[in-house]
Formats: sequence, structure tokens, C-alpha cells
Amino acid sequence: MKYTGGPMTEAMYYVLLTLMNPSHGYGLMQAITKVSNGRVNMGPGTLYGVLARMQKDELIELADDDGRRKTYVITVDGELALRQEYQRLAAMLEDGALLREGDGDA
Amino acid sequence: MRKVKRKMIANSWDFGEHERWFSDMAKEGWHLRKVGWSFAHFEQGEPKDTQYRIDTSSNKKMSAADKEMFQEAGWHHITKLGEFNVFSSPTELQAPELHTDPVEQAYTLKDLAKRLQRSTIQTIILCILGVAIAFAFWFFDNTPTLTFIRGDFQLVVLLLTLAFSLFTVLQSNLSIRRLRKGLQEGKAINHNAPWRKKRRIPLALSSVLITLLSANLVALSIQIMLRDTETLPVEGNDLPIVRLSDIEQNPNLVREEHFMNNELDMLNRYSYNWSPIAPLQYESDESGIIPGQLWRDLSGTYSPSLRTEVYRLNFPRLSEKLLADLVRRNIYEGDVMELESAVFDSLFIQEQEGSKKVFVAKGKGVMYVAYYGYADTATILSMIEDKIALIEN
Repeated sequence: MKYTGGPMTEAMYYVLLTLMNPSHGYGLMQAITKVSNGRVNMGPGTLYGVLARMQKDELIELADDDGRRKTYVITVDGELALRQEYQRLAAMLEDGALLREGDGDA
Repeated sequence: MRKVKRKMIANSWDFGEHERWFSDMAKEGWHLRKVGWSFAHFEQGEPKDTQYRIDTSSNKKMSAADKEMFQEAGWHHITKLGEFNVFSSPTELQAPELHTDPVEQAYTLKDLAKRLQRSTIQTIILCILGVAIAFAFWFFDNTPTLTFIRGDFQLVVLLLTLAFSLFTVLQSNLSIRRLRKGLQEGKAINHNAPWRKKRRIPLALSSVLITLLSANLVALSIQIMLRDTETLPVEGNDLPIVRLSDIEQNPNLVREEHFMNNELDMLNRYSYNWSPIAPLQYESDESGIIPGQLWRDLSGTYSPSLRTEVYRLNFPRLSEKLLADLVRRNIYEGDVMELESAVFDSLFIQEQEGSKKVFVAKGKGVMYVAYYGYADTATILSMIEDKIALIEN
């Protein structure tokens, strides 16, 4: 599936976000946990699947592959998609402001 | 170190079932080493509580760097089969679950599901083709009993094999659909799915199929060994076939010969064949000339000929059906009469100017005689009576 915009899965979003800094394998798993403040603990199978898919969709690319470690980095397209997703999420959050006011009333 | 091979659960998409099976084996001290399309290989060791996970990779080969990533997360890569990779982790290690996002996992199965769908369509086309071929062979002249009795049952096996592969491929399709649907809905794979029943049914089915295939192979080898064609001896013999000289009863009758380079007289030959249903089968052709005598329409020298087909059936109950098929195959036009007979169980005759076709059944014997010449029916019938006596019991 070529990524054509639209809602990303949580896994896609966090992998892209984390790859704003080039990273590899297990380090990436830990970085995702850190970036998400411990909220997302991505399993290696899921990470592997997301990496393979997003590499095919050219949202990320290999920065370095010395055979033992594969270092991934986000591409220009990837960053664009990530920023669009961020805008979408931010807009959703904005729309939800109503809930915050509701809390205030209660 | 002891090793065992066990038949795989037929449906490779039953991830949860396989994972639980490998786990149960490890608990008994049998540790997974390799998987193939048919068998899983285990090696004996200490009984251990081990978790297994099956994952698919979009690349045919998982790179060392990828394996390293799994390893660092506590999952050891054991073996692969196509795009399926099997990982294990000691239960006490409490490694993070391989897949934490079912929706993402559904994506990893997409290409495989598509490919499976293509192969399902191919199998269906193959099945349609197989059924069409079988129908063409069996029902082209509408004589399925004859075809079967002569031992051309390879088609049955072909159909069975096709049916089995269709069953397998449809079941796989259903399975992957269910799997992906569940994942897309956010339901993780049940890693503790019961596997015994899933393994038993296809196992039973495939052993039935293997038994049938082997039986067919044996029958085919026997048939190839036992069947042959030879030139008919000039003088009478103890074969259960009617002879032209007995019917013509004319001392001037000589053979009309046509030898092929392999020294087989194409006009005077007999073949014998074997099948489990009719272990004794003969077919003979004989051609003669009476010099100086002409056909009544003066179309040339009188040259009678005779064809015999003989079957000794293991199951006499089939004789009626076989007789009907022989009539259907050998009567192209005109009527055939069924006659009451004190001698035969069944008797059908077609008499035309210069030709007689006789079909009889008696006990285990079934015989078809096609005669071109002027001898009378009574003579032919008495010869048939003599010969069928050799095989009727």
C-alpha cells in the first residue's frame, strides 16, 4: 500500500516521529518508548512490519546498512506526511476543546 | 541427539495453533528446529516453557540486522518457511509481545493473502479443467463402466487429488480471511489456540489420499507388466476368444496378413490386459480371405473378419452395466435386439447384411463379438458358448 495521506496508525506515527533522528533496530524500539513517554512499547514484529512497509512507501529510507545494523531515517516525503498528520491530530485536539470547557463547567 | 519429524498442521495460516503446538512440544522436551511445508522437525532436550511466535516478512530473507533486532528484544529466530519466520523466547524472560498492534500486523499479511487468492483461482481453474478432462474421457462415448473396468482409473485419482488441493486452498483462504479480519478489528492472535483437531482432519484426509495414490500406482505397475499384444497363433488355442476359422468352417480360408516391422501382424493379433476389477481381459482381431469366392455384391474377394472383446469380472454384478456400455460403444446405427437365452444370462444381437454383432454375459464372463462375413448366428453363438465357458466361473 502506497501511503496516500489520511489517518496513520499509531505505530506509523511514532516510528516517523522517532526517525526524525536516525536510529536502528532495538535502539529504535527504546527511542519510541522514550518519545511516547513510555506510553507506546512497540513489539519487534510490529516495528519490523512498519519499517518494511514505510520503506516501500518511501516515507523512510536506509541511512546505513553495515550488515549488522540497519539505520533508518525519515525522508522528505515522510516528514511532509508526518507534519500533515500532526496538523490533523492538532486540529482534532482543537475540536475537542469543547470537552475541556465541559470539564470546567462540571 | 534424538530427532522427530511430525506432520505439520495442514493450514499454515493457523498461526496461533502452530505456536501453541510448538510450545506444547517444548514442554515435553521436543524443541523446534525446522519447519517445512509437510513436516516440522524437533530435537530432544530438556523440557522447557517456551513461547513461540510466527511472523511474516515482506522480504524472502530476513537480514542479520533484522534478526538482531528481534534477538535484542528477546526473540530468537529459529527457522523460516517462505515468508514465515518462527521465533522463540523462554517464557520466564517475559519478552515484549512480538506484535503490539494488530492492525499493523494485518498489513504484513496483505501480500501473502493476495498471492493465496491468486493460487486459489488457479486451483479452481485447474479443477474445472480436470473435471472437464475426466468427463470427456469417461462420458465422451458414455461408457464409464467400460472405461473403469478396463482399468483407466487414473482419472479418478486425478479428480481426488484436485479435490484435495481445492479443499486445502479454500480452507487456507478462509483461514487468512478470518485472521486478517480479526487483526483489523484489533483482536490479537490467540497464541494458545487448540491445535489437535486442526491437525487430525487434514492428516486423516491426506493419508487416505496417499493410500489411494499408492494403490493406484501399484495397480498401474501391475497393469503395465501384465499387458501386451501378440500375433494370434494360426491354429486354435485355449484362449477364451472366438476364432475366425471355427466360424467360417471353410478349409480354403487363409489369413490376410499385414506385418509391422516389430513382427506384429496388425490384422491378426490379440491383446491381454489386467485391472483389479477385471483381471482377465482379451481383445482380438482376425482377418481372413477365401480365394476364388466373392462378396455377394461382387465387391471383391470374400474376406471375413472377426473382433472379440472378453472380460472376466471379479464382480459379476457389473456385467449388465458393462454389456450396456459395450453395446453403446459398438452399435453406431440400427437396432439391437435383446433375446431370451437358455444359455446366457444376457444376450444382445444386431444382425445386418454381412455383419453380426453379439453381446453376451454369463456368470463372470462378458463377451463382445463383431463378425463381418456370411456365417450364421447359430454358429457364432455356439462358438461363444464354448469360449465363455472358460471364464464364466
